[in-house]
Amino acid sequence: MNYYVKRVLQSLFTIWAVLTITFVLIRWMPGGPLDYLMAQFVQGNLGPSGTGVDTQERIAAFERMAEVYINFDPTAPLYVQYFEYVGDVLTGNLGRSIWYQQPVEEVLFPAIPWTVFIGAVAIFISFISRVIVGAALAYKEGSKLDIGGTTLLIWGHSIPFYVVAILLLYTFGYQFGWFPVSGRYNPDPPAGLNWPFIAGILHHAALPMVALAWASFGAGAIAMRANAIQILGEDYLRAAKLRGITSKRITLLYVARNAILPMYTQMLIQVGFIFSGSIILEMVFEYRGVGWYMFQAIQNNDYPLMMGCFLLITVTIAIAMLVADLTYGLVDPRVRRGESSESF
Amino acid sequence: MSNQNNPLELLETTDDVEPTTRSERWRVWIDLWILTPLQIMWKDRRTRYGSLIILLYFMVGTVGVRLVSPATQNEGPAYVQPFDFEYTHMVYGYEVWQFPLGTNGFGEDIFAQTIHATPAMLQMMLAGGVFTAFVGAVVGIVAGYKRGTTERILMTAADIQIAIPGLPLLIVLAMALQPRSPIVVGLILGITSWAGLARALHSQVLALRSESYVEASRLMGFGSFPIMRDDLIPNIMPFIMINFMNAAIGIIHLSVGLYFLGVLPFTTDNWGVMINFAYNHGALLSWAGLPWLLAPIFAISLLGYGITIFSQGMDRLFNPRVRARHATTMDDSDEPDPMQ
Repeated sequence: MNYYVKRVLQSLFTIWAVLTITFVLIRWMPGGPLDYLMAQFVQGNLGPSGTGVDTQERIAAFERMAEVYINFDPTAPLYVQYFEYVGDVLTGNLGRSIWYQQPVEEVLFPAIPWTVFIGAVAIFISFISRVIVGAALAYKEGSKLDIGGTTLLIWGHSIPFYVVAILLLYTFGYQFGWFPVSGRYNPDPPAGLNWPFIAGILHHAALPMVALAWASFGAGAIAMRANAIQILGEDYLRAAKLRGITSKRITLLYVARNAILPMYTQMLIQVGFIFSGSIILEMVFEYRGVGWYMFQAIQNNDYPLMMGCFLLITVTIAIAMLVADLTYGLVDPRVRRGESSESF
Repeated sequence: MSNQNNPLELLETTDDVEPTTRSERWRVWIDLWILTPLQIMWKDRRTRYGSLIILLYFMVGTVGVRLVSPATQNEGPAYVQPFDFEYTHMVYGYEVWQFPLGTNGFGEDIFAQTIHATPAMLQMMLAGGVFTAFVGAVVGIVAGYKRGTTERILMTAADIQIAIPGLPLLIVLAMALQPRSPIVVGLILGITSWAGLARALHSQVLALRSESYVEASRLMGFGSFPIMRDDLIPNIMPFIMINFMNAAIGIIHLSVGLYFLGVLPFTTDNWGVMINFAYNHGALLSWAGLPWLLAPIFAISLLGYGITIFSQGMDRLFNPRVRARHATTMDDSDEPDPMQ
């Protein structure tokens, strides 16, 4: 079978598996969505209450309500529940948030650009800095700078990025007061394309971006160093030098290009990581993105919202990995179709 | 028998008459499997420091918790700074700090909290690391050796597990299961990391299974299990061990993250719980809260650093290509090894 077709089918299969897992969790998780909804209903927090309502009516109301919040009616046969759920999710209906009393997609979708914005810039910062640092260490291999730098990188990699986030917030947010400690933008300037508003957004996003960039920096720089060292010892480099090609050209076209290539897949996999990493990151900075809503959903036992976030994050990662695999052949001409099935 | 009356006689006769007695064999075994590896480990800077750091945490987790009494609320004023000689007490006749790292906002001894978080963390790491290594190894080896339908099923399962983001899945699972014992927490955290190891091992076994000695064993009529045990596993054991250590680091980070988020029940002291309390109870508001925040962070990063350099050093020892290069530099000694 064609590699591309096979890979797309595999991704579809993964997404289906995730959907099924989500359904199982919603349906059977002890103290989970269904139990919680039932409890809320019995307490009269949701649905019709009062003395005038008889049991039959209440049961009917509960079934309608389950349909709205978790997309299936728990009293129907199991396969009907399953198909109702999968069908609803595939048509973009993720249920209804208990806390916000809004459809999950209306709560979640406006938050996506904020998370993507932070993540995209963070990946860019991290990519550039680790290429530079890794290459510099590789050129100085064996020197004091290399040994010290590698030690620092390993040490930095042993500190989780959210801990770095807390330290940044503590130092530059609370103590020095250089950056705001929460929120996404300044409330004063009118929202729109004007400099004060955009500056406010950048100001709020700066610390989260640096913290997120940290997440992939340490290991990435070490990998870049190893790549570059390996390439520096290749025969074609010596041949290029002997042919009299300038060292600047060699650095850019031979070393940099070949050392950066393996990092491309890594970078796309990080696109998926943005969303899962954002849960702790956005909680620390109280930055209202997808991760913040997931954290809030956990705090408030808002299961439909929580499951919506889980699905959104999972599907994003599946797509990012698919794109990484499908495009790697375009970026790296050495990889022929069908041979690149294990690029991650 | 006279042996029972005189133990010395027993020792003498066994030593003289049969050279390969039990004690002799033990000595050879200890020399081969414990002393020599220790010597090799000591030679390399990274394994030396790495193992010392790991040993330090192990000692703190076993002996340290008995020496330092657990922290209690209001045992001192809030926000005592580290190494403050105002607060001292006598330990075995020596006057030492009562709060070596100061106290937190609740007047609890930060040093004692950090120490008492260690045993649970070690249990978690061990449980999660063993789970990851075991499941990953079994799935990877069986899939690589058996091929066919078994391979396809196992590798599809691993691919799905890789595609599902770890942290959100763990949050959902932790919410559902509310694990209380550190060992159970470790096992749950291990769920997300076995697949990567299984995939890597799978490709290694694919390469190994067509080696001539494996082919020979198969022709001699050995079953799948003896071949996997005797021919395959010894070759990939180093790789499994290094992955075990990496998984342990992953478990530290994940558990600290989940405790910090407050998703796991706060049944034991944990560095993540300390960070959570520091974050939520005002440590960020003044510089006085710095020790409260830094102590657990330092504990996390030092342990992670120790394990990382240890596993890198082990990689050097196990990796035949690296070892060969190592050996030549040792012999020629014209090119100094940067890591020595």
